[in-house]
Amino acid sequence: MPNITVNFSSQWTSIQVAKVIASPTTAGEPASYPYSRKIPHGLGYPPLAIGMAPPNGKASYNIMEGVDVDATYVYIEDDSGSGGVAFDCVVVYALDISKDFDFSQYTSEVDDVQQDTHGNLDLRKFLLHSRAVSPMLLAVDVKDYTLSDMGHTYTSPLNYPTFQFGYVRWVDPGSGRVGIWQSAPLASQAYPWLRSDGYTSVLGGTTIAGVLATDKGSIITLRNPAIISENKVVVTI
Amino acid sequence: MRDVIYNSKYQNLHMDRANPKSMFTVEVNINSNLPYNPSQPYQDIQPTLLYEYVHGYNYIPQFWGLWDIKYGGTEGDYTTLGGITRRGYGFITHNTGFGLTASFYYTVDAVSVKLYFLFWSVNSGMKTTGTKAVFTGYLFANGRTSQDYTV
Repeated sequence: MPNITVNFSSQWTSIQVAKVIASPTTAGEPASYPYSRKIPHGLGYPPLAIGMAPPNGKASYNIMEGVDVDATYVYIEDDSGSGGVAFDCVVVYALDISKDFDFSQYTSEVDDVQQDTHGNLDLRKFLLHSRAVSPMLLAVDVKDYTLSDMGHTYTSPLNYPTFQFGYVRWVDPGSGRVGIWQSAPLASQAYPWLRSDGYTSVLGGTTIAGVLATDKGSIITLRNPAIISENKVVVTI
Repeated sequence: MRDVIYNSKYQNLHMDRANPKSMFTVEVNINSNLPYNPSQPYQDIQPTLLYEYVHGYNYIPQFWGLWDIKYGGTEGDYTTLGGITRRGYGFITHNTGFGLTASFYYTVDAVSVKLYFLFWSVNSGMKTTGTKAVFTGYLFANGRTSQDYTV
């Protein structure tokens, strides 16, 4: 099946929105340091959660970051007081980051799809719509870290770049995050970080004073829908 | 529930095939040495507007902005941006902590997506040429107001 052109494939699980939390810096209940708020998500497992915000405070940029989670809450670190961005919404996806999934037996090719010309229906009103495509889950790679093995690599079998998100679970009592899965952003300059070239993703554990500080990691890889790949411009300065 | 392929209880993340801006790529080539600006704090510096495109919605949608960046120069050459590569979402900074910040970022409002490059250096000889960034914006039709499909 040329799966890149389909908007829904029973080979993969769709990425589905379970909850959108608007104004997360005031939602839920107060949380202890390093968090400011914790908000119940109702899923019963640690989900993928992404925070977004337009420019606010001293920041002139949009933000898109993973948000820390456990099986009960999403945790908000509000650093707007120090010049950072305060999230204006957090999207919680029905995707368990603590459980291995693997659809890697499937391969595909990049291709274009024909755009339809239907009217301007508002897709916000639909759970599923034939005019829409969605990223789909390719794999969740979960690893238990040990003092002798803290390396963690996942390589996508697809021949085009994928989306990646990373999380590590803390066990260090001094972190204030015991049992919480902390987002490991791509390109972060401080631990935890995820590095990827779109195909191979690298995460890892860490120690504090010779003791394991993070005991698990999760690399979430999503299939890029790649629906309109000819839309490209080049800017030179 | 988490094992099912599709669950009608939740809402799919919707990328509209009828909107040609649903997936849009901008390749940025910096082939010049941008003027340095030692002003502080660096947040006060005006960034360079790289590109703007209208997304076609009249609300702020859920949006994923993905950067693939290769900074110019070579590792260990402190008159350049060091040749490092970065792939990531949202705001991507190369900040050495020694008077250099070279950041790619975007803004999304109810009309358009704008891409920016912010360059701050206290070193007048810092070279930006040879830097290349590929941005791909994934525009989802899903809204950002409160929704709860778990109940």
